[in-house]
Amino acid sequence: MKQFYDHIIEIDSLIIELDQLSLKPQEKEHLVAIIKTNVHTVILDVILSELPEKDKKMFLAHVYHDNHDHIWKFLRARIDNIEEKMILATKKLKDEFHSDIRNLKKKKK
Amino acid sequence: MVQLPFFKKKVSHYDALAEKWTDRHKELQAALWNKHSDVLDWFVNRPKQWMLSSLVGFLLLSSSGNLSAKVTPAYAQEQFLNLDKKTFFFSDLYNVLPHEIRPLIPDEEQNVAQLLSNTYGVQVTPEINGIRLNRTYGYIGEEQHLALYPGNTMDSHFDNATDASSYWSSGMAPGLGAWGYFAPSASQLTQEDKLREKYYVAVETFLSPGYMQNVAKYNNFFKYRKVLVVNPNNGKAIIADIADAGPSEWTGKSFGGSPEVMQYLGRVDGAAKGAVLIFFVQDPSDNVPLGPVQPLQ
Repeated sequence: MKQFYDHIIEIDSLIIELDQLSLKPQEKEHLVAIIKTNVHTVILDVILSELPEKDKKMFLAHVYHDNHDHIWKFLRARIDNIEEKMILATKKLKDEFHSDIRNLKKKKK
Repeated sequence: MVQLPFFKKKVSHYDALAEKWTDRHKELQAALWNKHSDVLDWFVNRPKQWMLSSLVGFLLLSSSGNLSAKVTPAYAQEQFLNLDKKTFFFSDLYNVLPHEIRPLIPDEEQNVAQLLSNTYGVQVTPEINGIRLNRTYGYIGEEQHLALYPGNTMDSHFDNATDASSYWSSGMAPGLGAWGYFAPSASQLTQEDKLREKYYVAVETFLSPGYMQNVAKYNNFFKYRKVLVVNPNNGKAIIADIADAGPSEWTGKSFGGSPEVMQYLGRVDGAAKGAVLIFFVQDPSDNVPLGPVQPLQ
């Protein structure tokens, strides 16, 4: 399923690194799913932290309806530099994932 | 495979990452709930039809607490596959349904019928032999039970104590259904009769285009006609039959549902009124059973 932030939050670099581990296809798929779930939680956190109280319910309703144009229009009208904030918030998480994968690759050697 | 320092047992790459990342998600999720409990509580306590169909709801709930402890690859894969299928359905549905509850135009009806047929594996259509309902998208309200046979009362209406305790409070309609009793007597009551009452809907047959010019023909057509009823907010769907005419136009509702139908569809919030889609089931051989229907896997 495509998320409204997929175009700015890439996880391809993680998938490429996962390809270098000894993983069965379904195992890789599950790990990617866990990554996405983590990313989604961080995205929700950063947005809910930035939004005024009165707008939080409406944001969840927009996500529910999954209309990406509406979501972005809504967010950009209420949060300055929301894209940058989302990228920054997920960067730390992705860095940790990269680190975990690299540590495993080192142990493999 | 790698060897962890404190355990001599070999742990696969997958196991090591899955465990670590799942734990990380638990922490993130706990933090999310701590920070935003008000709005998240509001979200998950919305009517079920709102919450269960939501990706956010899924992600917030399915990986929380003890559930994440039993996340296995197969389990997670199944959950995500189900999520995708359901999410795609909702996404497709929201693309073809208007934002307001109004009669669908022919193109919209065809698109929705196709989507429902593909999703539930039951061929549905807005029109059969030139006969159609006045609308296929509208509000449904809860009706009362209908008398099955002469002398049938609430005390003798149910087969079992579970149904009686669940649905007794809805009471029995003072009048009969549009086609009278379902059976001439208690001894002649069949399982089919019981199901027809249990899963009945009322539609505004009298507003069907052409009804007034062909009352007998249309009544014959509508009598126990099977329809697919779908709650577009949660994807719950049920095969029901038309057993009553109504509700009146002034109610603002276009359909009525038996207590059992409404319970299953999740249309039992305070107002007991919500939007549904209703389409005729193409079932010339009478093979499609009445009752809940699940999306194809």
